[in-house]
Amino acid sequence: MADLMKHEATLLDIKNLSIAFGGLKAVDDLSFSINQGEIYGLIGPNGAGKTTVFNCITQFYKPDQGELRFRNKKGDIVSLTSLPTYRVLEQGIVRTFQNVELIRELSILDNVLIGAHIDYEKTTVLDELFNTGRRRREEKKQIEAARRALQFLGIDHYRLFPAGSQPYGIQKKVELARTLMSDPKLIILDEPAAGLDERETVELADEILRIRKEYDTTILLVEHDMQLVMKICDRISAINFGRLLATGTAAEIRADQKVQEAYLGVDA
Amino acid sequence: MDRQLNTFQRIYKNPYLQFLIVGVLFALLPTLRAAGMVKAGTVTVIGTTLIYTIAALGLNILLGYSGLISLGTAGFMGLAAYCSAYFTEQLALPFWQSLILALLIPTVLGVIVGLLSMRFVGIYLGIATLAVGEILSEIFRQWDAFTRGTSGARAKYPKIFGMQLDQTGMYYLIVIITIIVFILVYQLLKGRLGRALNAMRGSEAAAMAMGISVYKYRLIAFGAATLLASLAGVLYVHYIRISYPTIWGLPLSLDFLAIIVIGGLRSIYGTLVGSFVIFAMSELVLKQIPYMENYSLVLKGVLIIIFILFYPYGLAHVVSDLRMRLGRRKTKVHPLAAKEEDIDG
Repeated sequence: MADLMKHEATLLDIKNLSIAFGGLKAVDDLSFSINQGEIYGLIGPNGAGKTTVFNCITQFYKPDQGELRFRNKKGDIVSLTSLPTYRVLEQGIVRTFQNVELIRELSILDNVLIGAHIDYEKTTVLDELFNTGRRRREEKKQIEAARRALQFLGIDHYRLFPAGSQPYGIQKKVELARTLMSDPKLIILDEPAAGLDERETVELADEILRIRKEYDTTILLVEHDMQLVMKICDRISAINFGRLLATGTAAEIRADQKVQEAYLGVDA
Repeated sequence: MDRQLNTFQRIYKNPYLQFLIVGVLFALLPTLRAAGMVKAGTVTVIGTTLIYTIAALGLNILLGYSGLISLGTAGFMGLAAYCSAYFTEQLALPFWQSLILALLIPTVLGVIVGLLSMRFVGIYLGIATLAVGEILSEIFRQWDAFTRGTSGARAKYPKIFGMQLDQTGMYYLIVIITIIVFILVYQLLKGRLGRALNAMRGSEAAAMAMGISVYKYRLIAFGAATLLASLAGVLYVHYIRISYPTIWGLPLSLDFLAIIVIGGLRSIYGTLVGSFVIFAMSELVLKQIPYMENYSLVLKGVLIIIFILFYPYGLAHVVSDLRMRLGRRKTKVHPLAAKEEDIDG
């Protein structure tokens, strides 16, 4: 079998991924790969194992079997399973959560700055303790980057409000702005449209397309909103019971019989 | 910045200047005593309260920022106090050498507890640190050679820079160190590290997804908390000049917890105010009122319940809260929201 990672274009290669909880196989021998610059959709009925796949990629779960290989920021190919959870980000993979994970008491600006945590490579704890010039310059630079991300999503004027006091739609944008801070190669969005109204969903589609263009990145998303997925995704993988049903463009997926059965049920 | 600050606001809103002013106010106290305006006992009570503030600030880093509870603060503070007394008296080490050892030993122990803490969450961490505190407290009672048991370990006013301090000199030293601690803690927590600790408290999963090593920052939080408790312990034993094992038990650790709840999580001034409510108030106010002295414990308990139920942000946010209610602020900025001038630093 040809090694996919040999292709310059392949960013993430998932091969024979399996994970079971107790007796339940949440992901079962799943393989697909994502190319650089793609917007890739992962769809499936409730409980199909979509979020589990995300948690395996980001190392929140350690898969029982399978390979997860990623072309990192330096261009090296790394095996994600060998990394502790907190070191996945520095490879260039950043994620959002299904139920927005922000620090409610902190301002929106501070929440976004948390996304830049690993970019402060040069400042040490001592720099912080004595508030050195290096620390002040670095902080200023990051605040500017955070405000650019907030302006990009049109919420810069809210930056001093505590994140917890904002409506859900704004909180989702804050989480999105936070992902932009780490200069990611792959952004993983877990149900970005969940809880958004129709107008906000249209806005979101536009934002995702703009993020890919402006930040020169790749996006993998799990979504229930079929309209959104069909509209923006270059390629889609449909899964059910942790198994791959089909991979293809929106039109191909829509026409696929197995996908239709999974969503609509099948007559006995 | 949406609203420009005028020159006057720029000056009084400068956090460093604020800390300095607070320091100068406390430093005025011995002069007032010399003028006969306050009693000598009051100066001692306030000096001790400042010492407790330092330890409580350490617990605030742990609990307020990182969301990790510790009921062993008093044990670590006591260990540093006994170390310093032992090194300066029994081993006759110079104050500086003794200070470094007395800070290092409890801090190393604190970091080890931090390592073990990776296995505990929430209330179980409270129980584990309670056990560490009680073990230390038992050691203080039993190990006579080190602590002099119930008769108490004695220490002297220190000699620093070739200068022998007296009681007033020691009070000034406490004020200076308190203000330095305020400034350093403020600087340490206003940026990246403070945000990382906050992220860890908010959600460890999200923190890890943002590249924050929960392991590393838990150790930093425990290290900082025990270092400050140790500093407080050393200052205590050289100010009061005696350390009894009964002081360093659970009631004191609970007092530190009460300070933070009443004063305010994640607030330096809140910790200071809370410290005065818990320590100075019963000494200076309640003892003046007949029969009330015995009820100080009851009062503390009632205060904690009232604050948790009705004012969970603590006294630290009274001012901004009042301002908001009186409508002096046009935009309703939450009391805990960051001020941009703070971040720009």
